[in-house]
Amino acid sequence: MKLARAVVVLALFASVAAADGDRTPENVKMRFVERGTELTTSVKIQKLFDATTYQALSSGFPSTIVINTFVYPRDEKDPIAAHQLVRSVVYDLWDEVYVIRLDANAKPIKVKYQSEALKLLTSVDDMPIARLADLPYEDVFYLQMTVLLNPVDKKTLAEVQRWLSQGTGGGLDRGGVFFGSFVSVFVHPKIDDADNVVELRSQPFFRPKP
Amino acid sequence: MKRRGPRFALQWRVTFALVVIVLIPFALSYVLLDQIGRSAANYKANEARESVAAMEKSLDAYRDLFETTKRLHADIADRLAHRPQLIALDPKTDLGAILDEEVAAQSHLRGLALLREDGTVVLEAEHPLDAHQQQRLRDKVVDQPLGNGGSLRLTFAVSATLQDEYQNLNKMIEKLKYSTQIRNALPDGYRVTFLVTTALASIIVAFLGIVMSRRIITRRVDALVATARRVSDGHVDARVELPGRDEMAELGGAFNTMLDDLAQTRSQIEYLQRMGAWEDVARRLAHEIKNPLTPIQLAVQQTVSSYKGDDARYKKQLSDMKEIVEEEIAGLRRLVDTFRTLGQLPKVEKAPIALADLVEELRLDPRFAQKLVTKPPAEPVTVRADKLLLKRVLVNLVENGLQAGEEAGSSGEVVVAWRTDTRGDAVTITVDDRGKGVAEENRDKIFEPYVTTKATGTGLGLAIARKIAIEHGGELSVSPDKAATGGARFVITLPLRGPDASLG
Repeated sequence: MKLARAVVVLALFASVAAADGDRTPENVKMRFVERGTELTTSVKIQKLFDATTYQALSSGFPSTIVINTFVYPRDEKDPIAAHQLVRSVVYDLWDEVYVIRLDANAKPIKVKYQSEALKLLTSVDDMPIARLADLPYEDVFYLQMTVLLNPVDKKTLAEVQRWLSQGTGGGLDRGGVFFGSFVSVFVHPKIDDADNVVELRSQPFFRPKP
Repeated sequence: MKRRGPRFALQWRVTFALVVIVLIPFALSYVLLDQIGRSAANYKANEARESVAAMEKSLDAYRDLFETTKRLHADIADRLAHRPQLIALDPKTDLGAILDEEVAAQSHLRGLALLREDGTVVLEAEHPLDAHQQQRLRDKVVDQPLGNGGSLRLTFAVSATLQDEYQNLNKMIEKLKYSTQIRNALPDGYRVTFLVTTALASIIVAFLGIVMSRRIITRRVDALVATARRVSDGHVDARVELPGRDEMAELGGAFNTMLDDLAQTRSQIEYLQRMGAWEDVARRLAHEIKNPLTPIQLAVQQTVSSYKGDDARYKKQLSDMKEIVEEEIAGLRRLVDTFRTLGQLPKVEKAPIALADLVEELRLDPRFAQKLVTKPPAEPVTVRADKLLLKRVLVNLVENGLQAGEEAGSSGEVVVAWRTDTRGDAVTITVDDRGKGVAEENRDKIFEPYVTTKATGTGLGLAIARKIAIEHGGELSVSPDKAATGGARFVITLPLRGPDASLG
């Protein structure tokens, strides 16, 4: 179980690290609350939408927000916990309402106004970030949050890349498949990871002894 | 042997040449590929840009469709909201008839409801959707205030998939944009691929160049150099083995042939030097021995004839002495004659001779007439040689052969054959006898002067014969293999081409 968790943490960390580049996280004040066996956080995500992306909310195309959280012990570089939250919104062009899912498994919420949709999408309320068992008392941690607006759909990108670099893969085109695969190793298109990426870093926190 | 430069220089030069040969077309191909890649990418990028622009116009069309439809719905709602019986929330209003009118007018209206201010229904009429319509249509509700607090609720049937199609079109646009970005990066990918492939190919070629140049050239050159060094160090028997059927192998063969020729020439020179010394000795001996022989003979004859006494016993002693002395003097004269022969060998004067004619002349000698068998080749062979000397060689060999046969108790028949070699460079004359052959340890010795295996031989015949052969640019040897006749085989080789060619 621990191994599986470690693998998930590493995979998330690797994907975010790849998209991270050399962004400097913005320090923000976050609220931490113990809920049952987990520690949760609440924070307002600022500067995620600009005028274009805000306007695009009413376009009728879906927008996605991926929130990745990592809990680090102070002065260490390896996270001890990682979580991911995927939010989506789409404007229903017939009913003229914003249909929002705050979590992949959550029920959709419909709101009439764009500002309401924005508020819901950028508010993180009681998001679980770590198991309490993983946070010893008095140890100091901090939370790093990476928020991606409309991240590149890796599947779509891989599909397009495959479509371009490989042939049909049959008959006389077998050599083409091999060559295409070989070439694709050296093809590095300049495609942004997302429409926008926001990095947030919490204040240090610890669990006081009861 | 002095070395010039590093030993591996040739190997590296060959390798360098191979790599350069590979790199030049690769460099040209690289430039060409770069241009082709850029052109293709630009062409495709323009194509994709046009497609994206067209598809974005389609997106606008979709948006217009949504807006127009919604405006139409609003207009219908506004129009119906002005009907007096609806404003009055009259329960007797025939909503079904109004709905039918709108359906007949292609308005996609499928439901109407009159609502009081508290939201309760006064009247409603609906055209239900069939199963097929339910799959592709969905409801869109428009609430239109009636001004009296009540409202009119209109339910329109709209496309359930229109927004999905609109979103899918946008996805396609995104894909096209991705593909354009990837296409723009493709030329760089091709360039890197090409460079990597070229580098790999160059490394492989360099490696093969090293291996092959070592295998094909340098290793064999090393062997050649090593053999040359051994020869220069005095190992005249050293020979090089260069495998293969190419020029290098041919060079090795030529090198070995040169060494063989050198060894033979050296042997012949040494032999001729020894013969020269013997000739000098023979001349002196002939002179020193011959001169006193006649006085000795005369003195003995005079001594014998001057005795006039009657002592028969003494007379017999004198007669015996005279006979012994004369016999020994005759022997010495023969020896002196042989010495003179060795010391006065004439200079070789070459002229074209038909070998068949020369051998036939041997038959004129009654000693050989019945016992000489000749085996001429199909084509006549003419050599440039001194007829008398060459005949002397053949006579000597045939004589020896007949004697060897008689000593072995056979009929004494001797076979003389000759033929040119495959390249026509030399003619080989073989003289086969029916004797006991020549023992291996005597094969070289028998050509030395004063060495004989015969009871009555002087040991000069074969020495003179070999000298004559050598002076003709050829050689006389005894074959290590026995002749087909069962005895010894003597082989005379005479050149037909080259500086010593016998053929005119």
